[in-house]
Amino acid sequence: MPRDIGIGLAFGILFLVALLGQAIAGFDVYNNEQVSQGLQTMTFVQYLVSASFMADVMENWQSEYLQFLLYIVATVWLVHRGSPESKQPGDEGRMSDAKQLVGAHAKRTSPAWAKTGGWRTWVYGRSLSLVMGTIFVLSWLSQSIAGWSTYDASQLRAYEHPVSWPGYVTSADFWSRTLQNWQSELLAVGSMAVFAVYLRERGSSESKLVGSAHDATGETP
Amino acid sequence: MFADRGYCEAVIMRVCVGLAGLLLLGGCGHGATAGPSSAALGFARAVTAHQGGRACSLLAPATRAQLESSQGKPCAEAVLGQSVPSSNAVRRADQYGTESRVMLDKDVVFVARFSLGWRVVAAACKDRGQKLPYDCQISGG
Repeated sequence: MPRDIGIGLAFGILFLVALLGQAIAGFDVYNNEQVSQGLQTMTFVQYLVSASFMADVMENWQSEYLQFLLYIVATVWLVHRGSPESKQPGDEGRMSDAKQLVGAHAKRTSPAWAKTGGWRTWVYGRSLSLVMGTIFVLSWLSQSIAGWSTYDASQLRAYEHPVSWPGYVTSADFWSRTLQNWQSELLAVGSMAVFAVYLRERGSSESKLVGSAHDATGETP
Repeated sequence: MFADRGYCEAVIMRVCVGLAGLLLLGGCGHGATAGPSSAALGFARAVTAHQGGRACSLLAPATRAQLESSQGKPCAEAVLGQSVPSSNAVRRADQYGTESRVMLDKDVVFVARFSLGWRVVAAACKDRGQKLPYDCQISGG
């Protein structure tokens, strides 16, 4: 049974291990800085619920969810000839109900909301981007609030003026934290789509078959 | 099969609701400012009342050490030699995590939370403009 859900299980475990590692390393960095400034250190549990840790986690979450949100939505209308990540050129757009197996074209095994038609089918047909987009917005909002608190705490440690939340979300600190994540995510996902035109990974669902032609588009095992 | 699907949907729904709550709660780093205000005002009043020992008990360890080192005197004596404005009221307090700025009626005081409570890390601070740090006569360095 675990083999059937291996991808979710493996990445879920790796995520928790990496998050714990980040927490331990971040806790050490935070307390070292506090000691060097003659300030109070935190316990590990206090660090886990601190704005500092939350800002570090949320700034990465928002960029990852934005990356996949953009990729999911952009690949509705954009194609890349030869990429296994792309639809066939000519299939751009939301496609017909017949191709998408919705409404009257739904099969017996289709999800209930794919069969019903109307707003339910409209929403279900965009549910992936709606959920990914909601998580992106919430995590970016959370980054802005936690980052604001962390930034103002550092301002006060240096005897400087704190800023308001609108002041923070228009500050260089907020956009530096945000854009350094966005650029790397966009590079990684874009380069994977292009590399996969010419490069292969035998057995991977993200790759074309090793023997597929370079201009074969959307072919995955 | 269908029972399993329903269970999975319920679990996913619970995870999503929990995640949304965690995301929103996690961002909130503000707290009550009674502790910082009390420490800042207590320090100002102790200096005004020439209670050096009490004033020093409200200073952060590094600030106390810096004051003794720079003045070459015990803290209780050194602190009374500083030009700390005699404030009597709190105009405003901002708290971010374990740091706070308390604006008294005649002074600006920076306060931080320690295991024993809130302590003054800088006092007798002059505002030099939005882009520059305050100029504090008493500080931790």
